[in-house]
Amino acid sequence: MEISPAHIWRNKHYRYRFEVNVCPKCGRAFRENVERCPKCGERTTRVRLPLNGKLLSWTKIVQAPDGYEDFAPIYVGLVELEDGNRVIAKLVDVLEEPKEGQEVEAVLRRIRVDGQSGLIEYALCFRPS
Amino acid sequence: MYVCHAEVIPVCRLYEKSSAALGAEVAGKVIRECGEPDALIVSTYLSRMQENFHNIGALIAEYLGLETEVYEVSSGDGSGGAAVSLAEKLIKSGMKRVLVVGVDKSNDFQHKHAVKQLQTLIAPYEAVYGLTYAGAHALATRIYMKKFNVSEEELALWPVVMHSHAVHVPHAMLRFPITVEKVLKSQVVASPITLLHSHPFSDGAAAIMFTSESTPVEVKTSASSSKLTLAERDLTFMDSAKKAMEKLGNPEAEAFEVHDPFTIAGVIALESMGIAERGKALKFLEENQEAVNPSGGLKARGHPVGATGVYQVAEGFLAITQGLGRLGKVKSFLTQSSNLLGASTYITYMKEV
Repeated sequence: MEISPAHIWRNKHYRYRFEVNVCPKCGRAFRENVERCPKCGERTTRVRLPLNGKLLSWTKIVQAPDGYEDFAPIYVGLVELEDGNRVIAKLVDVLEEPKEGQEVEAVLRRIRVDGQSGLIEYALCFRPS
Repeated sequence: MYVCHAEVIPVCRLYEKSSAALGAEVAGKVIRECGEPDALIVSTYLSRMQENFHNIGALIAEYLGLETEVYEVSSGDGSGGAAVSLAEKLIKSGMKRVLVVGVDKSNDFQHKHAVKQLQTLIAPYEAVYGLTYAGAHALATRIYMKKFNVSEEELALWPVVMHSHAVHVPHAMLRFPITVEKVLKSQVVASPITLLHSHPFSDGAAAIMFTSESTPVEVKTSASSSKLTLAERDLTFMDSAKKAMEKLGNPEAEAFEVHDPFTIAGVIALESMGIAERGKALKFLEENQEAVNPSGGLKARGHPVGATGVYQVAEGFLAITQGLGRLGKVKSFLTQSSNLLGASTYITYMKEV
């Protein structure tokens, strides 16, 4: 396992707050730290996406990647947020099988633990609302 | 551009040989047939991580005793198609012979490592939750099933047909028949995708010598791209495949090799390329079984990731020159190699001249 504090640091706005950088000219949103739109050159503005939405699709991942075995099976969902933007994130507090169309809300949870260094990685996940 | 010669080694688990040794072995056979190339393009993806060695192209050139230009090409699981596409550009720039070698390994560690290495295809902000290659396709599968009212039984036709092809293909990995019941009852990988809807973890190598001099097999390529971020796409359609086909003038072919690491990808490929109507790819497959992935596809021939696109084109060459499995001999052939469900797509059209 290799959790990098640098990776977490530079992605913190999207991971912890669902903040994206939007180009005022072309309207495209970047899910990481992009200060100027690479296409238009305009300075991007940081916008926070809504924290509620509905589930469009989901999967229960049984064949987990190396480093995620302790979290298996992992539920991952494709969520359409209230403003129409879409995000992929982990589904948590899954007590019964998820359903397409189900209302969900974002909540901060731990997603990985580095057994060797003790680092813990957090990110916004979705739970039924 | 024309194909001078192509060679493949049977796709399987090859514990005893490295990527460089495999690539050089298969490339050597082609060079002895056609002569030395002006450039070598090597396509690989997983083996860099599997072997902790990222300079495979240079070592293959050394083993072959070549002093020509060497390039390594990477475009996710579409790397093989990308290499072929670039070869055409080099031939058009005036080179006489260009050698494309696709080589990859997936079985040097336990599967959970290959699963993690395949996650590197997905944008980090989507992969970090544990979303896998299979998981990404699973999200697409569920949307497709709902949108076009397709059942799990209907989807199971794809792997059943693929295995029925592979039985007749000497270089295929999974050469045994399966049934719809077996597909449905096999272990879940990422719901609703089961093990028998998934590609096997494969090792393999293929080499093709392209030439500017006329041979019986002429080749044209085309490529296009769209978005990588999964959340921002229509997961039931590959814009890049549609655009690449349009650039080629939507050629009609007798048979196709499409990129099907999981059932859904093959289904969407046929529809995006305009070969089947939207929502009707499985019906098309039922009526044209021999024409779709005569090698068995990624599902049954196997999926040595960076080499897969090169295998597909080599299979097109085989089908035109000597016949391939249940399909037999054809006069025209189309291959599609895509990066993560169509972030980019590389199309190759071959015909007998």
